[in-house]
Amino acid sequence: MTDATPARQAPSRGLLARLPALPVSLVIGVLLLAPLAVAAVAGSWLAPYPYDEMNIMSRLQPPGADFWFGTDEFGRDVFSRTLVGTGSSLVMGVAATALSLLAGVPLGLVAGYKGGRAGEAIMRAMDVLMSFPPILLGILVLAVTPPAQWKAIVAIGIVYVPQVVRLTRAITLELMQEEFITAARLRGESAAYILFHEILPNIWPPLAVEASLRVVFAILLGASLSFIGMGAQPPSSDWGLMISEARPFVEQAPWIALCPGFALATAVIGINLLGDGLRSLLDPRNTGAH
Amino acid sequence: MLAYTLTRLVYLALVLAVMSVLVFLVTQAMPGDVASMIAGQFASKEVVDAIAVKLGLDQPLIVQYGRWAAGILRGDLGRSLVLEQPIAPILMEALGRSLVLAVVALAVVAVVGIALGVLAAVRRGKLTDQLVSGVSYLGIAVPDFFWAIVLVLVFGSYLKLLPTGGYAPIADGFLPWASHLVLPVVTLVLMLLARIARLTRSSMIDVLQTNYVKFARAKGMPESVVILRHALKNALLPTITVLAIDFGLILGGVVVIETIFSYPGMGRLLLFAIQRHDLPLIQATILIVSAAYCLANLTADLLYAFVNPKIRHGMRAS
Repeated sequence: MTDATPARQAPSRGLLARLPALPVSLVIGVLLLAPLAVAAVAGSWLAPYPYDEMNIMSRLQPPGADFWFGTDEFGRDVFSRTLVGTGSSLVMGVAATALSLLAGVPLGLVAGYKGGRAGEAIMRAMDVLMSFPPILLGILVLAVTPPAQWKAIVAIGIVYVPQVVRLTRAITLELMQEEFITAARLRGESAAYILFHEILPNIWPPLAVEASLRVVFAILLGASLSFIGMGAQPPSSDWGLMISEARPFVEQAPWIALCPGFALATAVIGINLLGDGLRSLLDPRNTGAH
Repeated sequence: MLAYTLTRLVYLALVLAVMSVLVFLVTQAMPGDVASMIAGQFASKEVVDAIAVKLGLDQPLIVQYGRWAAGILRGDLGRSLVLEQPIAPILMEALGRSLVLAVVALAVVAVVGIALGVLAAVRRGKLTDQLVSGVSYLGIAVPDFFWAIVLVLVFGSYLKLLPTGGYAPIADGFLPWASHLVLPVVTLVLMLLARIARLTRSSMIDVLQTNYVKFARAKGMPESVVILRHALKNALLPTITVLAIDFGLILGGVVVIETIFSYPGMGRLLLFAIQRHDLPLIQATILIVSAAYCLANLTADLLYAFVNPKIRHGMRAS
């Protein structure tokens, strides 16, 4: 997700000339995500104040010259906290998606390529996982031990494994009908060779599209888990947690909730657009009825 | 169709059985021990052991699971440790409230979403179309709890039109009851509107290009009759299926919404149970919400098969 760098090097003339060829949604998505990517990498360095510096003298200050987006109930600078929280909020979604791919792709490959009992067992296990509502599955995984952010990442990863398995299996089954796979089999290649050298390179484009959209759900689920106290823990400035902590003060100081809320919305819209753009770039079959 | 329905029901029962084992095992792994919670923190070890024996907690896990599962089948969900009452009545009351929220939200999503979708399809490519997709896109771009806070801020704190949380039983009168539902319902609707509107729009666009719609127009029927009676009826099939899926989503995602609006339904009951380490209550709430979620998804599948014979026969063959 963070390799959305082209926009930052935009001034080069060659790229500008090629821009019209890229889908508009991809370009807008990258433009929205670029500042977030910068904030995620260099947030604590760019922030005007340390994210956890309390200053009781300036509690609940409205946005102004000193504090661009005001301060919270401990006098912490909301802008700095939102900036520093970018990493936590986005990493949660990206890491969870990566985990679900890491576990889901091999399972899907086996289920699709081997089929038989092993494949059946994998798919039925996925059915059970999918029978839980996503947030409840997350809660079930998390409620066992005291909450921590890495546990939330693992929980979200588990929640989205079934979708990855299903997609990988479906694409694998489709590829198995292709001639180049039959040819490889006739050549007497090993199953491992076919899986890793013939099938895997061909499933990544649809998986990349899927993953980019999955990241959005993962970020939102992560924010929801942090919001109900099962994700990032104080004094972290994860966006979901910030919004949760801002609730009691929402009438006096709405900016504490609004700033991370807008950041979250920017991230979600940006990734959605990026995903739409990727889809039209990588998967020409899917021109979309919408 | 009957055979397909039966197969699916049997499969659902199997999935629920596996789920109950999972829920049971996970809650067993949670910290906190039921017997010492009942005995209180100053009880001696003998008292704790006696309670454990009385409750059968000293027996192997499989026996405990068997007893728990048999109880559920009889409608006995056990006793809450914190509330010190049988769980079933508490849970049914909370489930009823959550269902009210879900049904009202679903009805609003259906009416508004389908209307917006038809409007966008009829005025395809024009400003109305773009407005509809823009507005519905906003709904999914922001997490539900953020919308909830914005709504509370605008309608509760600034305009002082609506209560910002809580619940009033319908016995207190219709208006207080309904006014407590408005903000949670609107939040849920914002979340689900986009999908319904976009789906209705695209299937409506497909249907409007079919021959029978052209024929109806050629017969000189008024455009409103063509759209509402002929086209919409056929365009709605996929939408109805998604509405059933959404019903499951609402039930599953109810934890966050109910927490924000202090609405005393299943979601809040579950969080309460987790915060107080009430193991029997955690097991029961997770199992019941998940079962409701599965039922909603099954309904969606059956509806889909029912309206689409190709799927129906394809599935039977496999």
